Amino acid sequence: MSLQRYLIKRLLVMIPVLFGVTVLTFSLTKMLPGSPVDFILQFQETTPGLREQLEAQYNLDEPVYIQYWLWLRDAMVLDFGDSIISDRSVTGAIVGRLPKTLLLGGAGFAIAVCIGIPLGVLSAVNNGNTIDEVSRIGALLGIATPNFWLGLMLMLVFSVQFGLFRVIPPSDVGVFHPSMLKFVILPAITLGTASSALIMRLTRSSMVEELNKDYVRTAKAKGLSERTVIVKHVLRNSMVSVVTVAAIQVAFIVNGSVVIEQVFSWPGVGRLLIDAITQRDFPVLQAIVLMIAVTIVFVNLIADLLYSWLDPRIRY
Amino acid sequence: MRSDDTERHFSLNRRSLVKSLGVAGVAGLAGCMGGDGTETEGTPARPGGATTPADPNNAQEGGELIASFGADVAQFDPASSTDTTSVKALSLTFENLLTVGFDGSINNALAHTFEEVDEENNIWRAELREGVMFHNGTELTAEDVQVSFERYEGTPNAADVYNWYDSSEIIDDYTIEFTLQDTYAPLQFDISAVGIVPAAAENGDLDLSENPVGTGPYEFVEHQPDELFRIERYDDYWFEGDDNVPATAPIETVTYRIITEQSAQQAALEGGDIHLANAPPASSISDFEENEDYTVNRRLAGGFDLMYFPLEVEPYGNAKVRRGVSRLIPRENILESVYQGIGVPAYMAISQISAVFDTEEWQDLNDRLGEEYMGYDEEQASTLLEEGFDEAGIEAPFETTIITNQNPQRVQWVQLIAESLNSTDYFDVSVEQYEWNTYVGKIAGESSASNNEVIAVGWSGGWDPDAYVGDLVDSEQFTPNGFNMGHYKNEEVDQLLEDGTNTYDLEERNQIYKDLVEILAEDAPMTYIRFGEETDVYDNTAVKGFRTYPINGGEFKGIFSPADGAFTYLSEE
Amino acid sequence: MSHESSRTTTDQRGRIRVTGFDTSAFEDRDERFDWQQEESTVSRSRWTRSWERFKRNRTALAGLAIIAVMLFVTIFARPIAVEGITIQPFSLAPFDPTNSNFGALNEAPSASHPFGTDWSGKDILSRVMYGGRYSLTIGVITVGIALSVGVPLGAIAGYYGGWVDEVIMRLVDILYAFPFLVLAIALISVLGQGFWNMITALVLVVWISYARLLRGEVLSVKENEYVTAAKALGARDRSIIFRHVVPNAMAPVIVQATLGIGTVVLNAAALGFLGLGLEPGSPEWGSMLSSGRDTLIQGYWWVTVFPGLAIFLFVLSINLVGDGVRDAVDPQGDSGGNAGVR
Repeated sequence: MSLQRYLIKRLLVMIPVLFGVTVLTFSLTKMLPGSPVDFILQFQETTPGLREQLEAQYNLDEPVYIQYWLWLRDAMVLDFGDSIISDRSVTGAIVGRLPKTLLLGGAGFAIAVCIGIPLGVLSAVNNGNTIDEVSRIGALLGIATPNFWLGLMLMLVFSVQFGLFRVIPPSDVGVFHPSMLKFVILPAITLGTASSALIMRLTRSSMVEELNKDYVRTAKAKGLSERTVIVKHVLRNSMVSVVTVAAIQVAFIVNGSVVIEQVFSWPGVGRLLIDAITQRDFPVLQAIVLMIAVTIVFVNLIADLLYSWLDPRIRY
Repeated sequence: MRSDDTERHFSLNRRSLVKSLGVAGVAGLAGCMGGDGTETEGTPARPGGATTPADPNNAQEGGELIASFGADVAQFDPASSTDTTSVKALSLTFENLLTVGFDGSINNALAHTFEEVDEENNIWRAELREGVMFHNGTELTAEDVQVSFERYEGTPNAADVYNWYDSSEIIDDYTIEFTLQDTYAPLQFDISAVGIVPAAAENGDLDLSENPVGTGPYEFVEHQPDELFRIERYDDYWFEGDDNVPATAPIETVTYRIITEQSAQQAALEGGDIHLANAPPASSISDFEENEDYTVNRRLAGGFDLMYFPLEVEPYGNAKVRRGVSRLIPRENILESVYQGIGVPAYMAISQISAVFDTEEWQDLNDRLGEEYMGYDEEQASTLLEEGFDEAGIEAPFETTIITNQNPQRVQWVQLIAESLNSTDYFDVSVEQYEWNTYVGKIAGESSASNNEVIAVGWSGGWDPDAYVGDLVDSEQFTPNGFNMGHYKNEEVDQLLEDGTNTYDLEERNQIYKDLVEILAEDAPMTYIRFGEETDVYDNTAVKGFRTYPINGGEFKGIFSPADGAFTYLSEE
Repeated sequence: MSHESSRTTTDQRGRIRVTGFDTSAFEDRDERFDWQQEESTVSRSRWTRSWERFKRNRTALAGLAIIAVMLFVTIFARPIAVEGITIQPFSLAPFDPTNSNFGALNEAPSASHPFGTDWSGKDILSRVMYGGRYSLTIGVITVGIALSVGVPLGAIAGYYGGWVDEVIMRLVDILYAFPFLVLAIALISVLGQGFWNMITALVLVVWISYARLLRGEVLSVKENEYVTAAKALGARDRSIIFRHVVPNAMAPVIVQATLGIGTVVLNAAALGFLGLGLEPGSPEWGSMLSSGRDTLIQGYWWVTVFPGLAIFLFVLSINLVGDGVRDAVDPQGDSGGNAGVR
């Protein structure tokens, strides 16, 4: 079918998925034991009626499906309300931290791709000999290392022992300030390592598959240089798988950044998420989880589209 | 993993500044206090650091002091802030009618006099300083004071005021009279906990949660969530200067970096990214102590760790069993391994900084109670447990659980206690840790006394002894309405508690609380582990004169607190 | 990929290359020929052939050996007793992993404590040895349960197609949109901590990849003649699925499962690291890393390095084995080649 029809079909399918995502997000947060009112009140001696008052303020006294509807209705227009703990706008809180997380994620992804793809190509081209073996083992090492452990080790060696990299972010500077670079490097390496290993393996296996195909031999027979062959044909066809995995990496990086942000005290959205879970700050929690989930759904959609554009056979 | 602050407290937060002894003769108090606030009990001054107050003649002006918080600041409005970090952050921005100094003495702040004018009707009068300006340019008047108190109604901190407040009357622009519900010994301390804000906060013109306007020496500048919180010197501050403190706060800007990882905080201090670290990891203290460039201030503080028994569950209903368990707590080992020697083993609830005991007396009392009732002693423990189990009709080994939250140190010492108990034949203990909300639900819920779970918790009091015990053992304070987690009921104790808050006389109170802790040691509804210390480490080549305040929330008072005679300056070198 | 590629120069099917009567070429051709034939039937000889290939893969064998050693050490670290009867009396661990020793706090690695001691003086070597039990059992059990949930669901979705397929796949999509760790943290916050809660949380996250994978396999396999033949012969759906379709689709699933054990162990460690793990004080490797984290800056590197190394070694070995399994079972890389993604 044509790309357009495929796109439409995918979009239609996405709607129930998004809906399900909102339901799941909402139910998960509702299932968390304890309510933010408990958190605010804590050990306070509560005057009677205070609890009810706070609950009414946050719509916690309504039946669940009404709460869901109220939340969804506002979420559609990106109004996530105010944080229960700090009374400040949720959207504001997220937007304030988003650049940092994007910086980290982007840097991690860049490292992953810049290491992964070239290594993968190298490995595929040298299929079978020692370079290949070594790279494959290297990739395995990258996958097997727990990222939080790697982060701690890097911090231990570079920050503590050698004092090369900063431990706390420079204040009062924008995200793209050069001084941020020194600070983002360790977390980005930690984040990107496992991803790079995966990308490398995938690049390699899909390239190997391609390299063995007839058209490659034909091209070589026609006299094209190996490099041209690789770059123009093989790489493009291999990209199909790589694109897919790249999409996966988005989820991977989100996962990773939650932990990495903890290890490095990185002031991003991941930290906010953990805090929100601990404090039962529902508006913040729901907003972040929803945002992540929707992002991933869209990223997968784009990946699917790219995938089918690159390889028209795959449109099911 | 994270410092105490992020966990939003397992101990009472604002009580740090609240709930203490109100004593008519303020001047006499300083002598009775344990220490004068500049030394750690029994320990000599640390090498490489001065702990004496700074000399106002040497104060250098200007500079930015960089300190740190272990968690982000949640709430700017003093009536709504329930976590220590928020209180700490705003301690230099808001002021109170009275303030409690580094040695526990009550000092006049915004009120230049505060006294009881009608004993029978419990009326106290405050006379305000004139010409005190808020950060938004308006002048402080009695109306602002009245609003500041009454706006606590319906907020999470309402009890801070409404525990004792009946009504108030504005006499004139600078005079206000408070009518109390009844005689209330801790009055002055409670008064010193209420932040004074402009009346405009009440009618909606001023939103304190966005714009914290107070009268303090520093005004709020900005808050970058999870990154920093910044305040700047307020030029129209009311203080005119005296012998001890310069008229203007020397330091121009104070920036608090938000660093949740303890190790990151240590690294930041070592790397010069921050000048001052409050409550650094215990294991780093000895390193800093040996380093001449850093000063370590340690003060025995108002926080202590305890375990509360669920008294409705056998065999915890039997006092011998409870004392037997107390005698198996390896306090010295805990102190060494978990806290690297920081703190003091606790055999009673009331901390040394409380008003009623002086240092030596407190030390002796603590030691004696340990010796007679609570201290580690395997043999005595064995006998006690044997008899207790017998009387209670329970067969050993008894399966039970100790519950804790995720505070890393608490988790560690609970494990050590469990190990100690498990090494006997009487117990089969497992440890469960819960994240904060679930934990609070368990310990503050109705069934806290009937679940087979021993509660490990931290508590902190302030200057007044009642704060350490009142809520914990008063039979009117059963959970969920109070914090008597074990549902302990003892009429003698109740009487002593009441007498304690109704008497202003220091000597009487001394005796009352002595009797109280003795009864509690014998009965042992709860057992104690350790008194904590408030620690500060700072780079002494840059920071001069910083003093450590022993109560949570007041950690940064030392930066500039003229009423208490404290200030800090930054040195150019 | 597999060792054949180093010995012959083509993977092309049906190509006969004469290379000086090298028997290896002859063998290969034979195998390929055989393998094609057996694609249509479930045959155990296919598996034995896979096993043969596996045995030739040195790195995979190395991985297997390491795992065997770790398993051995873990089982014999401390006595195992069930209902009071001691099944395993040996104690390889030099110290009791649960005994504090206040005279030896935070000691660096030495002769008596090769891995050093932790904050309460407990021997880290013993804890690492003993702690393997948690990680290994969590890994295996989680994958086991996830397989038994994911495989049937994926098979049903793939085989029946239609709205059954749609519903199951939408459910998968929804769950898939959540980053694993976020989901796990939320689940554990809901369920509470503990061994089975952790497994539940991990299973709920992991089953979807097996379901997806199997569905894809089923889709590609169900069009084969033998399935049509079976249907024509009147075989019932269920038997078709489970006797014909599934076994042939299992190859990549087995690979995924093996690798999955590694992922689960890593994720369990991550949860332990975040403080959402088992009972405090458990010598589970991730939790040990968590407790060591604060003291890292004091220079107590051994508390963090050794447990981390253990996790690393285990996951590495599992991956080697998993890769070996993949190469053995599926040397062409035809199925499940995209890391089981689509």
